[in-house]
Parts: sequence; structure tokens; C-alpha cells
Amino acid sequence: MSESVARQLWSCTRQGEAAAYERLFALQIEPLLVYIRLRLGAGLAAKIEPQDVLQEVYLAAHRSFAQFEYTGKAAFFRWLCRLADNRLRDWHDHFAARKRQAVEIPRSAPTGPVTALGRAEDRQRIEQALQRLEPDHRWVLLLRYFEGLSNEAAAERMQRTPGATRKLTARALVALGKALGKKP
Amino acid sequence: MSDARTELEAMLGPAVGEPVHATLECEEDLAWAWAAHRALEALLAQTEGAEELVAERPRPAFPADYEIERVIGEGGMGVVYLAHQ
Repeated sequence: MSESVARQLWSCTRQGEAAAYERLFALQIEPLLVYIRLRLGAGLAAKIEPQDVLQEVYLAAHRSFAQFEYTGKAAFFRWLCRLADNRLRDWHDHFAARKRQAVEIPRSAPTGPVTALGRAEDRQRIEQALQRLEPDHRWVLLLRYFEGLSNEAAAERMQRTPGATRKLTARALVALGKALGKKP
Repeated sequence: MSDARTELEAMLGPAVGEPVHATLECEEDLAWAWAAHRALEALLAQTEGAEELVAERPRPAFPADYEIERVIGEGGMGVVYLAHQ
């Protein structure tokens, strides 16, 4: 399989191409907002704008970009999700007290109108279906697919056994499939 | 659904000393889980610019007497075109 566009952009960025950096970040915006909205949950969503979280995450990513290595599938996106998770975990304690620093967010990746619309519909459908799941089902899928954690790492975060987490993931996928209402 | 089962089992991680879980034993549940897995994978593919890759892929050389109408589908291994001879 050919190298993904994101990985190519990352390579170019490492060689100092500013345009590649912009495009790489732009590709992540909409899917990352899906993650942030799902991760915020009802409690925090009333207090925090997803765009503010996005801005914080991009600032953190900008600062530590040199330490990021493109290792596997959707590695950059998953790294951003983990950064977002870190920001959200201590949001209440730190964010309000901190002086916010503006960071320019690139616009979403430019694509043709039909493709862009199709992608937006797909994202919305998945987001709504995930939103309807039981909290633990949603959480395990965010950990495994979005943050890219292994079963063991997810188990540790959820304070469950790896076996229980594996079963929970399977049940969460079945529930999500039904919520999407579409069998292959 | 054997490919689906294999890929899902790989995703779920090793069975760790627990009795074999029954969740994906039923074919219907396997199909639901597979649909969800594919949808999540498609979302992840968006973040890698999968569609841009397809858009930017140069068209291969076709025999002179073939007229290409459109792309029918594409995957990791290649692109399928509808053509008339």
C-alpha cells in the first residue's frame, strides 16, 4: 500500500516545508473536532468550546512537533487525540487560570465539494451514533480507535482487566454498528 | 465473513486467559461489529488524506483503443476503471 498523504506531509514538514505543515494540520481538523466533542461529554460541553480545545491542542502539538514520529496508521491524528485527552483531563484545574495564547488554526483541508460533503456526512453519522452509545462503549472506542491505544493500555485507563476490555470493545462495536444501522 | 473475523480479532487484541468471548461468535453480531469497524477505519483514513491520495494519483497509460469513462472504485492495491474498447 502506498504511503499515506499525511505521512508524506510529515516527511516534508521535517524538511522545513511550511505549506506541508499547514496541510498536515488542516487534514486533522474535522475528525479531531469529532473526537473533542465526543470526549467533552455533556458536562464539559456546556462550559468549553470544542474550537478552544482544538486551539490548545494545536498549540501543544506545535510546541512538541519535533518529538513526534510517524509510526503507524493515523499516527498523527492519534497523537493529536492523545494530546487533546491530556488537555481535557486537567482542563478545569489549569485552563481557566492560564493565559491563553492565540494560535492560528489552518482551515480544513481543501477538497472538491462532493467529496467534502460526503466526508462531512460520514463524520456526522459516526459522531451521532457514537454519541448514542453507553458511556463505556463510547469511551473504549475512543481509546482504541481514536487514541490508538492497545487493548492493555485501554484496560489500564479504564481500570478493567484486558479480557474485560476486549469483550467491551467487541460489544461496543456491535452497538455502534447497530446505531449506524448499516450492515455491510 | 472469515476475513472480517480475522481482522476484528486482530483489532480486539489477544485473548488473555479469559474464556473465549461469545460476542462475535454470532454471524449477525460479527456483521454489525464489522460495519462499525469499517466506519471507524474510514474516519481514520480521512485524517491520512486517503481521498487526496486517490485524487492525486496519476492516471496510468491505457491501450490506445480503450476509452476511459470513469473510476468505478479504488483500494490499496489499485484503481478500477470503466472503459470501452
